[in-house]
Amino acid sequence: MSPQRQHQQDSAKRVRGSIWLVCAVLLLVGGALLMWDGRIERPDPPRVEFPRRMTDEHLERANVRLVPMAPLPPMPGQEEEETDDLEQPEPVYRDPFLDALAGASSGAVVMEVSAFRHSPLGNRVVSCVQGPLREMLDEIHEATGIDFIEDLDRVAIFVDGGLPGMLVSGHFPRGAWDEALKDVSVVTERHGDAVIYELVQEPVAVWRDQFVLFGENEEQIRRRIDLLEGRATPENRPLSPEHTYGEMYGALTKEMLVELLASLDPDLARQTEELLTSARFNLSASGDVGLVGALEATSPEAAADLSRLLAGGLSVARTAARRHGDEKFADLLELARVIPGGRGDSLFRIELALPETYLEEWVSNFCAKLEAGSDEERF
Amino acid sequence: MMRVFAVALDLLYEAARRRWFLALGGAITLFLIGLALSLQLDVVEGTLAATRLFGDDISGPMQAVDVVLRPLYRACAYVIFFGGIVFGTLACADFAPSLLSPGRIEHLLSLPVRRVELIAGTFLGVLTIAIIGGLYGALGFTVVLGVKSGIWTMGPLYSAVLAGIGFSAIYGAMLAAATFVRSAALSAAVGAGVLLAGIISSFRADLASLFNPGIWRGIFEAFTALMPRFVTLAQASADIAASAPLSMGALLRLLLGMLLFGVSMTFVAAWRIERMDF
Repeated sequence: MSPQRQHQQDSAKRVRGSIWLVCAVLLLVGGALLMWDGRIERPDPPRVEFPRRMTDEHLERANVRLVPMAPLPPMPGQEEEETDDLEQPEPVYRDPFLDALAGASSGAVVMEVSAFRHSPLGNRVVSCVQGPLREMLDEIHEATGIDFIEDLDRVAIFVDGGLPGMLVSGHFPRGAWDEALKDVSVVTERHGDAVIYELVQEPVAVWRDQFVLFGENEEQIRRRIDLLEGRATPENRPLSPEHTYGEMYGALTKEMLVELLASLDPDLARQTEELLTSARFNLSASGDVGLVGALEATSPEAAADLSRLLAGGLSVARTAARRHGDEKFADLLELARVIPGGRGDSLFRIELALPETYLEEWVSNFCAKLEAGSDEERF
Repeated sequence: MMRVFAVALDLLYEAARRRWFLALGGAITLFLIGLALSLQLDVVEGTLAATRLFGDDISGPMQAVDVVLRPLYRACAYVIFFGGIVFGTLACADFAPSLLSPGRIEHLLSLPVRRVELIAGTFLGVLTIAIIGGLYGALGFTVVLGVKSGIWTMGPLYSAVLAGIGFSAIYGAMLAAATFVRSAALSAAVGAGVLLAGIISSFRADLASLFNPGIWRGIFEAFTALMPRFVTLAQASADIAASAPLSMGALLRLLLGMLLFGVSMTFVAAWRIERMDF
């Protein structure tokens, strides 16, 4: 091969080689451009705070509500402690609101209105309700000084021996309730620091401008007032201060659970009646809504059966939701779980979540209907 | 093209004879057999009611079985991704240097094979090994968990393919390095360096803010812009394994970008080998 031909071949080889290099640089730059952003967006999974235990905030709230009260008389069969007659008995710190809910076979649901009202969801509910009811609420506020949005602290709904009742606590202006009730009722009597009013259907008691008690009969109301003032022993309190976390909490008896479930799922209501004895729940609505329930079954075997039944039901519901294209509901049910108790334990827990966005949507729809109803009335 | 496949196939035969790959295959098989024999899942109506591992009850809350298994699929995807890359970097470091070793390269070039086909075949062969290895582990894991739980998902298999594509970016750079210095150690070091740079580049936006605006920040941003984003791809691979939703458009751009990086490095190797005298 002549040197000239050799040189030509070498040049061609170099050119061919350089093409690879140019292509390499171009691909490198192309790759860099494709990866420039380098992030892959993914939807945020719904995160829910489950109220599983007392937080420092809840503990502080519960402690503030404890007031010193005289010690209770000894329980039947309990020996009285020997004390020096001159020595003042040590006061006992109790939450009178929770004491007033005590009663044999009672169940109660408490809503922390002030805490819920200042949550994002509560704000939305308040702004929704304030729209159509603003005039009426303003009138009441003007006439009595009671602001139903800001003055309420806690609202409890309870059942005592099959009789329903309601206890409301708040920071009401002095004499506001007298003013509100004077035209629609008659004062029947004073009982302790409370005034009992007779309304058309049921009696109402106002205690020290702090608590308002609605009940089926006067006897029930009088007993609640005795509990409030420490004259009666709060036996079988459904809720203790250590249970008062979350924006809503409660203790439900078997009867309450069965009644609640009967309209939703008669089969489940029947099984509940057979297998469950009671349930307690805490609900957090400070962001996304989380519900934690502690359920007590009739036996460890019943607890195991029921926890499997509930967990299976949640799983089947989630699959059905996914199949029907209801992704939101399916995502929500993904967070649900059942936590069995230990071996030989009749207790088990269940956790359910309602992400805030879902409830906001529900509240918005509710508000729209409320607005529509109010407009129809106006015209 | 057939010659490229022939070179790739030759490389697969060579890999099959190596103890590293036999050991990897054996280890994956043993792990899967162990998992199959030791794990017991009690699934009721799609809910994981009880779990036993080596006879010990490790049951937690009762939850939908696919939700409970998601972290396991994620962990599997991360192990396949990073474990595969580290293993591949070490085990495949010797392929290109031995291909270019005196005597062998002359023999290969005496056959009707072009230089660039040798490089392309080697790249393709290693990519195939990476994907087959990942797929073997992922398929076994999917079958074991599928039989035990009744949940069948293709997620781990897709994530294994992503891991293979991620490794191709590293191996391209290792191949290019081998054509400059015929050393398995250097080739592995370059692979480790690209992996490290790729991990850093996955956080380039956050890390760039640590630099004061100026020349160093510019250099950092320019360098990391070129590097493949391994952590981002690993996260996407875990999301796919766990059937979590993610933006497919962004994932395809990332995958294509990483593949282009690997191919561009292979082109550098092709450029270099064309200029070499044997």
